[in-house]
Amino acid sequence: MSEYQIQIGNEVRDMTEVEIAQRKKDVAEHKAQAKAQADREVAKDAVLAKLGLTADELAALLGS
Amino acid sequence: MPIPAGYTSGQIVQAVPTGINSAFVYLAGASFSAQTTVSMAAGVFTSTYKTYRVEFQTVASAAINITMRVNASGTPVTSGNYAQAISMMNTAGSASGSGTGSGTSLPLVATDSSSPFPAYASITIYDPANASSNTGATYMSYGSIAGGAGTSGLSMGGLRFNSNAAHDGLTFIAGSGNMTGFYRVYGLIEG
Repeated sequence: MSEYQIQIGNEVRDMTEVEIAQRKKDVAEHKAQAKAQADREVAKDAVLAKLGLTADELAALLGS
Repeated sequence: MPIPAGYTSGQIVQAVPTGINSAFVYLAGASFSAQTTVSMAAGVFTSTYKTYRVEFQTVASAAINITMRVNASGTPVTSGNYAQAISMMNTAGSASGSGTGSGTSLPLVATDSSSPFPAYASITIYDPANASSNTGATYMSYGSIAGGAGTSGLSMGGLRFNSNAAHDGLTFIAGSGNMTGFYRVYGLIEG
């Protein structure tokens, strides 16, 4: 049984080559998005540190 | 007893109180265990209903992003036609948003930041079987904010598949790890 599987309805089967290629592409895209999200959080924290504010204080300042 | 017109022998016929002419009709569903990709069988969305509701619940193996695609003849569509706008609110009360006119999937929900990593989504699909119009969807989900695994919160989003085509189901995709849970599909009776 392949490490790449797909469930369609109630049936689980091995992915085709095309589906495996798409799966690898999707995983890479997700990893890139997760890294971008983490980078944004780091950048936000760095700005808050420069300003000497906590996230709660920033939220209060912005009225959110 | 004869099977009424419009029904098959396997269908559940739901009783509706007198005077109530609208109902959700259960059409299909599946449970899944430790799967990375879960797809509906072909032909779940048909011209019988204009509007469908899909309920999706999962726990995942980790904090992961879960995306959604529409299916054409049972196969997920990967083209860049997923125009989308998403509004998110995390448990700290911070709001954010994201969007694109050319996504290749829809960020539906991410699983919550701590074990057992749950996520829930309620999705409404509009006119999917009409080959002469765009398929639309709106959703509300909770777990972690869509596209931001690990940050618990609510997501509300909208999708327009911006090319005319008929779609007959959905596919749910774990960005990493795997999902255990179920989905249910209902058609909304008209009139």
